[in-house]
Amino acid sequence: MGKLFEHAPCIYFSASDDGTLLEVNNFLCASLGYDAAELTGKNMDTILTTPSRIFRQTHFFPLLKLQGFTEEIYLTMLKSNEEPLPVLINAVRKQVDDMPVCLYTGIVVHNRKKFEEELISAKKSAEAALYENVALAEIKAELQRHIEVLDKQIHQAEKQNHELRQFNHVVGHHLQEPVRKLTLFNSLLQQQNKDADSTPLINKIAAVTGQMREVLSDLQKYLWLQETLPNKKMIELDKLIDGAAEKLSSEFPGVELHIEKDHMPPVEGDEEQLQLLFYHLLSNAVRFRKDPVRVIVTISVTALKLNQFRYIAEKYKYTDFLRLCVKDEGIGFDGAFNNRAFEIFRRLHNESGRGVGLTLCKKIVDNHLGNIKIESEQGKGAMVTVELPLNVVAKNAVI
Amino acid sequence: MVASMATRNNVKVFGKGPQPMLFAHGFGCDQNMWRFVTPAFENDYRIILFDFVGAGKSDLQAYNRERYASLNGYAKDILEICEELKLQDVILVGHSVSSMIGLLAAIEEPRYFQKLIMVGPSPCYINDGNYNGGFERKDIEGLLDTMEKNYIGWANFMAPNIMGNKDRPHLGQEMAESFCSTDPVIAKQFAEVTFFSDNRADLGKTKIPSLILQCSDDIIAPMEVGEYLFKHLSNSTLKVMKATGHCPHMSEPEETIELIKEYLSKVA
Amino acid sequence: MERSRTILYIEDDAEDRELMQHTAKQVGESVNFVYAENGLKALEYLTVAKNNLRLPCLIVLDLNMPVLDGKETFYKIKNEPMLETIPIVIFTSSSNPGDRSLFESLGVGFITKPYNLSDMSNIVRGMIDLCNK
Repeated sequence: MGKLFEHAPCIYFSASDDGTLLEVNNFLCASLGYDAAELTGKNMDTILTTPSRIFRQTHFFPLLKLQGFTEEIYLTMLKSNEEPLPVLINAVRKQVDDMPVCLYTGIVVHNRKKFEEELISAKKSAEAALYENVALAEIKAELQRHIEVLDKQIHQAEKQNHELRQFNHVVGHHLQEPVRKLTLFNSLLQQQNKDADSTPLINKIAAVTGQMREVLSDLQKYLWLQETLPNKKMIELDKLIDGAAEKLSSEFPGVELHIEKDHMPPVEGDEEQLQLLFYHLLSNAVRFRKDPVRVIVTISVTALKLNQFRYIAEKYKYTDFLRLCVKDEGIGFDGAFNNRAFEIFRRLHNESGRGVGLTLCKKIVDNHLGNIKIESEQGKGAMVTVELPLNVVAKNAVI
Repeated sequence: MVASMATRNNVKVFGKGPQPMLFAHGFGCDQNMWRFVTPAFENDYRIILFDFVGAGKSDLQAYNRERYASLNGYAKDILEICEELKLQDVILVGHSVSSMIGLLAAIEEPRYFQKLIMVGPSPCYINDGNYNGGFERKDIEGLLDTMEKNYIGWANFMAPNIMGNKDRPHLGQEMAESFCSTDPVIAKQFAEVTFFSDNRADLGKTKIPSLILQCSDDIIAPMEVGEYLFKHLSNSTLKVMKATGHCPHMSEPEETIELIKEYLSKVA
Repeated sequence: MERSRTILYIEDDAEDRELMQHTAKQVGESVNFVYAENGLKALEYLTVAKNNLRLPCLIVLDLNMPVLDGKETFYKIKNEPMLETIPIVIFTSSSNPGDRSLFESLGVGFITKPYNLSDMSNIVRGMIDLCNK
């Protein structure tokens, strides 16, 4: 190193790419309290504080490698007595004898640092005050917009609720009553019938009216899910699933239902509704099974964080969700219908079932502010993915 | 509302191969960090480079404080890019904190990803009982202080929300051509989210095959961390590199390329 | 006052009345069934019956009725001296849990109209038994 650099009133040193110090000048040594011999050959990290070491790895080194130079980098060096030394560094990366070498110069900035800290502090206070003002104004405007939207939505919801109640009444009374009477009168007909030819026809009427009753019963369940507020408490899903499986076993006595499930953490929700959810998911697995006797369902569980906000754009709050994947090996259905499987009375096969199970499942998941989707391929079974918030925060407050 | 992720995240797509290889830069710089590595894969893969919102030439106006207060918010950048480009069987290469961001993305939407390649990863940077992450809280606070006093590629005189306010004039949005922006507000929040994150609990949530590239003598992701990851990430492979420091893809690109190629050829 | 062996069925629906009549006939004729199409007609009948000192032993009351619905008819009967002592049983198609809990809290029997004939027979037998008490 030339005499000028050796005695210059600034920091001057050189290092290889990996940080090994090659040459150091007097000023650097004096500032840090080391001899040149103690520093050459050591890694630069030795003379940096931990935060500055991190900064060097994440910013300084990449900058030098990509850009070839850096300017005005603030670092804190570490003196031999463990005290910090604030410095401002310029650096350049050059090829010297076919090897890349980094040259560093800089000044010690004790006073500058103090001044800068006061500046930053003042700037922060000013910004905070300004931010509050600006943020406040923005929030006010946003609030106003949201109140207007909310009011319209409440009106919409009330209107729909009202319409739904009327519809409920229609279903409950004007449809159910005629079906009831049809059933009874057909039974009377059956009693009085002496004509053998008429018997199969009467039986057909009985079967069809039976179907109508079931459709109405399903519709009523759907409307009940619409109207009642869920009764929230912490629930053990394992028990719920076992309960649903038992119910199914008694409905399908010839079928062995095996459920392989991960351990389920407790979830906050409505016990009755969640039990119905699992009942229908498992029921589908059984109804649409490939093997006539043995049904295997796998339920895997993942805890993850998802954005709680589902409709309002630009709003984010990552909260804990539980994702359940319920997979069966049944006959499946054409994947083109994945998005339509939840429509009421949509049947995806000619096999049994009225196509209302998944609709009820979606309603229940919606009631819990969760997500549900289904994926299937013909002949390869189906997988239903349900995501439920672990804690259902104060909801259903408005409607 | 942002029109396109490609613009928002400064996405670059090139390469002759069919399978996508998505490179996610870590804390500190931007997609340029990969420039010594991507040429080796251009012929065989479809390379996708991008900048996280707040870094490089991404759209700073899209910065959302609430979203990017969580690594999940960053993971969403990756997922949105995959969605927009309709990617499948992605090999996701993540440096440093982006290894964890990639992990979160793979947990949330496994269908996009085939493999994870983690360069200098760490699931948690702060020491915790028996766990040796490498740092104490005060070290990170010192880092945040250092970030505040560096103005590389400084674009905003004031915080973005004030900056973007319609009533105030735009205060010089020119940004120097800089690869390692330390915009005092955004970069600092990224530092906070990164170094105070703890993703140890997430390691068990996926079985995606992964490669852990562990540098020798990396103060940010020390050897114990690599071993911890190997132990807790099922289906992972650990390779200890000769490279030292935290950015082997910049300091030892050949070794990095070789190890990645070796891994990809084995795990068919 | 002596109770006659008569059950008053207040029901607007012709078919329901017909079904009741049919079932009553099948079950046995120990009790006489009388029908009123709505609450007003029922009250008219009850006033005449009161004057003749022959009140029914049981009133079977439907809820969904035009002009004067079941609940209003119920209250009107309960507010009449002498009529208020006649036992009442609600016989309705309503599945509204509010209705059920209201009447049960008043100690009034609440029966849902059945779907099959054997249930119907049992219900009518039960009504006749109430009359015999």
